[in-house]
Amino acid sequence: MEPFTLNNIYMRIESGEFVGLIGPNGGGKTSLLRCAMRYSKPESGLVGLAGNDLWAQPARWSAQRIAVVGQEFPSAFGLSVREVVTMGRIPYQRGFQSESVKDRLRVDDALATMDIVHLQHHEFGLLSGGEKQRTLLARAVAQDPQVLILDEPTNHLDPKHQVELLAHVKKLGVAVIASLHDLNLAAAFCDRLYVIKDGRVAAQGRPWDVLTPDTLFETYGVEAFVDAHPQTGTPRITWKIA
Amino acid sequence: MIVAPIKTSSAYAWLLVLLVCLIVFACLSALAIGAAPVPLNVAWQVVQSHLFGAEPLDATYGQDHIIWLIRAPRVVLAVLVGAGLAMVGAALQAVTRNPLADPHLLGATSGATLGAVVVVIYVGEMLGQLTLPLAAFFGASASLLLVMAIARKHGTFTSDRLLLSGVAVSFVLMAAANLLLFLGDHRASSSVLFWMMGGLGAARWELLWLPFSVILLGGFALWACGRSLNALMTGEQTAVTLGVDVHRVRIAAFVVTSCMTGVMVALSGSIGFVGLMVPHMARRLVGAEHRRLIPLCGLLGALLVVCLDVVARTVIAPQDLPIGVVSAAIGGVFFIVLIYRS
Repeated sequence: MEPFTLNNIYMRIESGEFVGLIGPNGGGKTSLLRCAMRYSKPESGLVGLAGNDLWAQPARWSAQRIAVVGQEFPSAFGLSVREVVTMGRIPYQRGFQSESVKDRLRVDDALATMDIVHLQHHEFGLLSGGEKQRTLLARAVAQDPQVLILDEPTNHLDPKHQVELLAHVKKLGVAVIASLHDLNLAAAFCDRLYVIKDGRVAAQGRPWDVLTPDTLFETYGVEAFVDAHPQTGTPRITWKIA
Repeated sequence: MIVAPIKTSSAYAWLLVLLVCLIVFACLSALAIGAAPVPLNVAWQVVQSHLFGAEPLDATYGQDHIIWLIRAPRVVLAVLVGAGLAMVGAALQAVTRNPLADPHLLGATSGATLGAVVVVIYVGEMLGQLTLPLAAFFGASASLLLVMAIARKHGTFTSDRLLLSGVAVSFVLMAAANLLLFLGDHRASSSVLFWMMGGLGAARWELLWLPFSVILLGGFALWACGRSLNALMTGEQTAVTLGVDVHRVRIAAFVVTSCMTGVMVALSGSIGFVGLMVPHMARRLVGAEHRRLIPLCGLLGALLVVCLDVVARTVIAPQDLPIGVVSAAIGGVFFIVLIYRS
């Protein structure tokens, strides 16, 4: 696989901020998230957290601070929901120790936060899409992160589950970086947006500054109408039908 | 569906205790059953006499000899090989994220076979009974290095590349071994062929320290990697973001499982299906969490191979049936039943 080229990216996220990455497919959103989660190492530049270079710290260090809900699903082997969520405690466990009381409490909390206590002994692979995402989010919560990274978290979900999932995320109060396809959801939930296109930041700012007809046309090549969401007052995007 | 009937740790502990009891009972029965049957209580007396120095009251000299020098090491080897194969299978299935992975997949078995063929046909038994196991182990180690050299790219290994290199190297080494067998002396060939089909007849007390230490240490290492295996099983990116040193765990698991496989194949040939089947059975009982799964796999595998060996020794007694034939036949049928019922 050719490494995707990202250039001149400067991003800064405050604690507790909900930041969305939008932009066309193949534009570099996932590559950028992989840098942020200490999975891909940038050839130059710095990925830092609270003044620390991520790559100068062990993987464990960032795993205690950054949690990820990616697009990988553990399915083939019949793990239970609770086992999947318990994995969120791996960064805090050492070799032979068994789960501590604190580990178990954090897992219980995470299951409760995501309303999946009743599913804890079910097989992960047989859950619905929404329940799977909630389980993975619970694993991330059990990780006690300061930063949560979400890669297309609402993919393949019903509208109800999309809204519920993002509402859950918002309630956690941690810094969030999420790549999102649905611009209306991005506008409603994100404090700030970055438009990533061709490996660069094409635009950034608050939803009303970024989601303008001009920027949208430059980004996606489609004309759009932008008005206010009747309930939240955030931008609402409607695509012009050719 | 609710998974894994055994959920609480006390239920799990009782399951392990039950299995240990079953294994002890199976081992004793295996000592008593055979071409020359010995009563169970006599077999027990013989074991006691050798372990604790008690006087074997009812055993004749012949019975003592059969039980302690022929059957006992064989039963112990069955326990070790069964445990080893099952634990290796479970670990490899997690590392490669492939539920069909099995200990013979990664080239160690073909390497061992080639080593055995070369030595038995062309070099001769210059080290006596140790020759074939040593040659096989040497072959397995060489194939391990070969697979790793091929899979290595930019200093790292991915699961896919390891798996594919293992399969490819397996085929090439197997082709070479088959060619030598085809060209070689027929009597030597048939002895190698019989060894390849799997058998525990080579067990001697003086050889058992090797599989004992390798399988015990290896099993312990795999169990210690349990949490990392859980993470790896769900995917590389997940494992990395959970702080697992994926590269190191993968290499460690690969080297450990290859060494274990090499030793087992060297002593008992290729016993199929145990490493593939037992992890699936064990997951049905306790789920896929590896720190619970690996010890259970070890016990289930040990129990299974002890029983399989009894079948192999008795079906056409006094001749031994290759245990690989028995394991593949019974295992295959068992799998068909599982598929049919699920």
